[in-house]
This record gives sequence, structure tokens and C-alpha cells, in this order.
Amino acid sequence: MKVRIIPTILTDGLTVVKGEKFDNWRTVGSAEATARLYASRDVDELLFLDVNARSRNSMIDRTLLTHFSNVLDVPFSVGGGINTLEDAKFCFRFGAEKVVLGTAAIKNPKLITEIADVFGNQAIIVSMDFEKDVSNGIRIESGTVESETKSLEFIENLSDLGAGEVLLQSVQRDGTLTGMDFNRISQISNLTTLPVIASGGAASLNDFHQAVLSGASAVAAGAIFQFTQITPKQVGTYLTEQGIHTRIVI
Amino acid sequence: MLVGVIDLGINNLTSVKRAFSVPLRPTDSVVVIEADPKMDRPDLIILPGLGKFDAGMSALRERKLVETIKSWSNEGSKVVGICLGMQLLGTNSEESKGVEGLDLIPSRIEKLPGDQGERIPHTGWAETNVAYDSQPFSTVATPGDFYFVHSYHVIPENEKDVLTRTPFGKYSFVSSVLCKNILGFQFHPEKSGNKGKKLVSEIIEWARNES
Repeated sequence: MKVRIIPTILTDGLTVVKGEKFDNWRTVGSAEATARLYASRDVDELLFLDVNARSRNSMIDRTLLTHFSNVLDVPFSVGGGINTLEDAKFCFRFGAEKVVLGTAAIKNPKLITEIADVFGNQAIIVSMDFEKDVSNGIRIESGTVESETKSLEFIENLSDLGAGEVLLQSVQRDGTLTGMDFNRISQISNLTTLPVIASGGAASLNDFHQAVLSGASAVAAGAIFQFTQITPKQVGTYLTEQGIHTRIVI
Repeated sequence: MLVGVIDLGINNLTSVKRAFSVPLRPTDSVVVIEADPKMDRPDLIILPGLGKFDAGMSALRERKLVETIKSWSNEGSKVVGICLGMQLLGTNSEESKGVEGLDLIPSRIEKLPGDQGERIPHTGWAETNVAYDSQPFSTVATPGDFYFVHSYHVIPENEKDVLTRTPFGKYSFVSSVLCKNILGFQFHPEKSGNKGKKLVSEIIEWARNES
């Protein structure tokens, strides 16, 4: 399987935001323009997360999503405030290949099954975050609360529940450019046969390589692509030089 | 040329419709086909799909499209299935036992093998290798990857229906099928960058030339 490099676009509904540790959001540009730029660069896949959806009590802005579907001919996933089958259906109709379920999946795991029964397992990414190791509870509500759901049990059941991919987040490292948590990536990768997308903290080309060696099938990153000279394409070339299979773009 | 895109309710209708509209000529038209259509027979029918086999087939049945698609294809319409749409062209699927497919390409659909050291679902970019040389789509024969996201794969009854295969560990699955006027892709041409765009143009020309 070829490793994917996935730029993450964090949005508050209309604009691209940049925060640290899922807090202190500031606007850094237009979501649509950013999406367009990545699409023109032929990225492997894009990940849109609406960081405010939960506080607005709604999913990603529907108008924004319809704009995305008009400009994007690359695969993309959408997350943030998807609480019902209908929410998911809307995302798919407007071009998303996958939806990302976070807090909703932990609070109501049946939602995973409900969406998978119609759209299939391959359409669902479950996002999770925990501190240090899998003996801790999963952090929800943008990492502010430790839930009673134990990470270990949850991961082991994910495939049966109907998830198709795991997005391992790190709210502690998000937007910090301080390096990734390889220990957690390898713990998760060893506990599931689902593909794992590692995210949070990527700061160098070597971080991407180490994440892959730790078992990640894909690496998602935001800050490094927005605030350094490193591009997704450069990461792909670097990984190929290290003997990792990545997409062949012709 | 008339292009019809089937709306199952559970598909990425907008991306597919947009992708197939781009290479059309001014005299061509593209329509979305909903329930029990009263319309001229399309020259090209696109069946996009995202989801489980039974959800896809029940959507077709509810919309009274099963017989419509079959009779149109008998009368010569070209049919292109994409992702789940390709699987719906088959006979039956391990994903939804007891549910009949369109059976336009005799085949059974099975889960990807779990013993290949590869993670399932198969998600991401992969190459296609053609099964034989003289076929109408040069894009699938040249280097470069297409985008896949699936857990099941089509196993055609007749080897001659295999258009391309794609490696999955030491195994290789059938990533596209072609049997006369019926065509299926397990990957998403509409999401596969420039290479995908080229393939969409080739599909349109294939439908135009022989219709």
C-alpha cells in the first residue's frame, strides 16, 4: 500500500484557522482558496476539519462544502460536528469520500455502525486522541475532556463497529511544530488492522518518515505546510528516496 | 450524445456529474437520472456508487432502475460503473448475501484477502496493469496511479472481462472490467487528478465512437 500525505485544513466555517492545541484560533486565509491551491498541487488527499462545529452545534458549513465540491477533484474527508446519518449523507453527496467522526463516535458508537450500514466501512474515519498510552481514556470535545471510554477497548472494537480508518490526533501537539508522538502511532498501528492516519506535530521530513516506520498508512499535517517551505510533494519525494512507496503522479 | 448519471441518493453525485460534464461537446448533454425515468435512452450511463452492496441495490430497486438499466444496456447504451457502481454490475456480493446484482458482468464480489500484510480498507493510490494490449483506454496502460477506497473486489467469471489488475500484497485484484458495452472501475477516475481527467475523456470518446 502506498503512503499518503494529507494536508489538513482547519476551518471555522468559512476561513482557514490556525491554532495551537486546538485553541487560540486565528484566521489565516480563505478555506476555498486554500482548498483550490492544494488541489492544483495534486495532493494525495485533503482533510477538512471544522473546529467550531461542535460549539455551533452543527456540522461543517454546508455552503462551504458545496463550494469545495465545485473546486475539488482530489479525494477529501470532512469532519467536525457530524452527528447523524443525514449529516454524513450530505458530505458524501457533495464529494467527500470519507467522513471523520470524533466526539460523536465516542459518545454514540452506534453512529459508526449506522453510517457504515449504508455507506460501507471504507467511508468512515474515526478520530481519536489519548495521552501517552492506550491505558488512558479517549479525549473528546477537542481534547478538553477525558472520556470514560478506554482507548484500548475502543480501538479493538473499531473495525467491528464499522470504522474504516483511524485518525490519530494529538491535541497536545496540534499546530505546535514540535514533532510527532511515534510511540502512540506504533501502539495504535499494532492494535488495529485498519489503516492509521497519524496527525499532530509534524515538523520535519524525518517526522513523516518516522511516522510511516511506526506503522502509519498516511500522515496528515497542517502547520508544516502552511508555515514552512515544505510542500506535500517534497515529503513524497523524500519518502520515496527513503524507500517508502508513495503515489506516482504523471 | 446523451449522458445519464444515475442518482442513487448514496453517491458522490456532484463530483461525478462535474467530471463527466467537462469533456462534453456543446451538442452533448448530461442529465441526472432519478426514479423511473421517462426519457430517451442515454448513449452513456454512469453508475457512481459509494456504500454497501445491498444499500446500492435497494436504491436501484426503489427507483425502479434495475430493469431500466438492463434494457437500456441491451439496446446498446454504454454503462460505466464506478467503485460500488462497478460492483453493482456483478452477480452477487459477499458483503450482502442473498442480494442480486445487475448481473451485466457475470462476477462475484468478495472481500479483499486479509493475509497479504495489507490493511483493509484499501485506501489510496495504486497503479493499474492491463490484462491485454489492444483496448480503448490508453490511460489505464500508462504509468501513474488512480485513487481507490474499497474493502471488496470484483471477481469476474470470465477472464476475458478483466481489463486491469492492481497489486495488493502478493495478490492482485481486478481493478477494471470491460465486456462489450459494459465498463467498470474500482477506482475513482473523477478523483484521480489529471490522469483521471484523461480517462474520463477516453470514456466519453469510447461511448461516442461506438454508439
